[in-house]
Amino acid sequence: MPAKQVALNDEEFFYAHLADYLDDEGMAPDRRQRFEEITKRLKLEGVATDYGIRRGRLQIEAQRLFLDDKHLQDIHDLVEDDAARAKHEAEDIEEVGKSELMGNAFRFVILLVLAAACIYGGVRFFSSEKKAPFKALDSLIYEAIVLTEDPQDRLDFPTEKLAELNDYFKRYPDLGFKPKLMQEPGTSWEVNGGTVIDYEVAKVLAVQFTGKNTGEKLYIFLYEGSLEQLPASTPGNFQGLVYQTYASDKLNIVAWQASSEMVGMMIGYRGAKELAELAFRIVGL
Amino acid sequence: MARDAARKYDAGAAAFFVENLCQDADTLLRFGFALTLSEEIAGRLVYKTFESIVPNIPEFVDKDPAYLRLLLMRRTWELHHEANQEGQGSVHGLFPLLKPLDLETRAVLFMVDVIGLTVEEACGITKMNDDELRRHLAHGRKRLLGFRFE
Repeated sequence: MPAKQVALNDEEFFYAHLADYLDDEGMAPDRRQRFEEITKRLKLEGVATDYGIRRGRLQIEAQRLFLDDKHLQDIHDLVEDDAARAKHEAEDIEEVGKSELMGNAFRFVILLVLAAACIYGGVRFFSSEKKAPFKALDSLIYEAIVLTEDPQDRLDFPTEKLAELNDYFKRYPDLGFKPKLMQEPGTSWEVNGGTVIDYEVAKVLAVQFTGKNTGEKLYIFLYEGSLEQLPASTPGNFQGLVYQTYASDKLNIVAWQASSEMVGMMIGYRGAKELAELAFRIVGL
Repeated sequence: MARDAARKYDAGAAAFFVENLCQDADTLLRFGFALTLSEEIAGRLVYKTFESIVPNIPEFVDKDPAYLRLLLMRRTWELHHEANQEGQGSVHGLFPLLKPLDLETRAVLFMVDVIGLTVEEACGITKMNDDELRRHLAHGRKRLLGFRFE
């Protein structure tokens, strides 16, 4: 038997419409009027702001829940068993092996990685000092500005094809994290290319886009880290992509936890919500 | 069983599954945690969700990501009601917030305030009407406002 439909009382109406009111998203005028009238009558001023903060905290706490590699692997196994995966990996290796130069570079990188690992391990073992934190916000705002001024010399991999860029990042040695595959941002943006910026404490993937009709620049940066390393800020949520917003004098920035080990940062001239929407489209959750 | 069925898929379908559908795995885990109050049971629920949609992968290839996410969440919701398992304890910081709430309230609070679904989308998943869903939402938000995070 269907439940009897009972209209919301004033208190229920107030709490049920907090987000509609706070986010100012298409709340019907009669509902807004009732919400404001209840707020005044029940003396609930300030609750909406408090709710905005607590909702942000709830979202951040929920982000601590993520599947580990074992669980993800089990899910991937549903469509690609060990034999199929081995075959695909063998094809990948064969492709890499076609280029002697690539092979030599790969071996050289392995040697470098081993040497770096030995040195790093030694430094870690003999020193209790923590490495300096990567000041992502300042650094990447600067990178966005200089990339805009001089893209030719700074984009190591100029291309108009995002698939080529995905492949470039996938094969880039010793990144320290597994980059996510990026999708096209839509018809109004074109890819200019990408690069890996090698800071002492972090490697950062950078991609530059240009608005087809506007010429405006847009950047995505991805690096290993946690959102909590950034200063606390206003949270937002675009279809589950929980982001924090920042601003320099000209640029807007949204940052989000792009995977359990990777932070994404979108820098451009659009508003935070629009940047988050582009981030959602390009990198996904 | 699922593995045997899965071997029918080519590399393209497998890549679509891994690179598109699996992008929502963590979202489903969070939703699953709200339903089950247990990371472990939620993990199994996410697996079962993907397992249940594997035979239909070819139908999903040209679908919008937002549609696919709603479809996955609806499957998670349905599968939870079939097994109806709930954890008794968790070290996660949200457990004490969620524990006193009923299943529908937890689900609605997460769908709207964590995952960012619209009320209409959440109604589509739970089959609640607008007032019923908003009543649960109001209850969950009141709890959230009175809760002290550690």
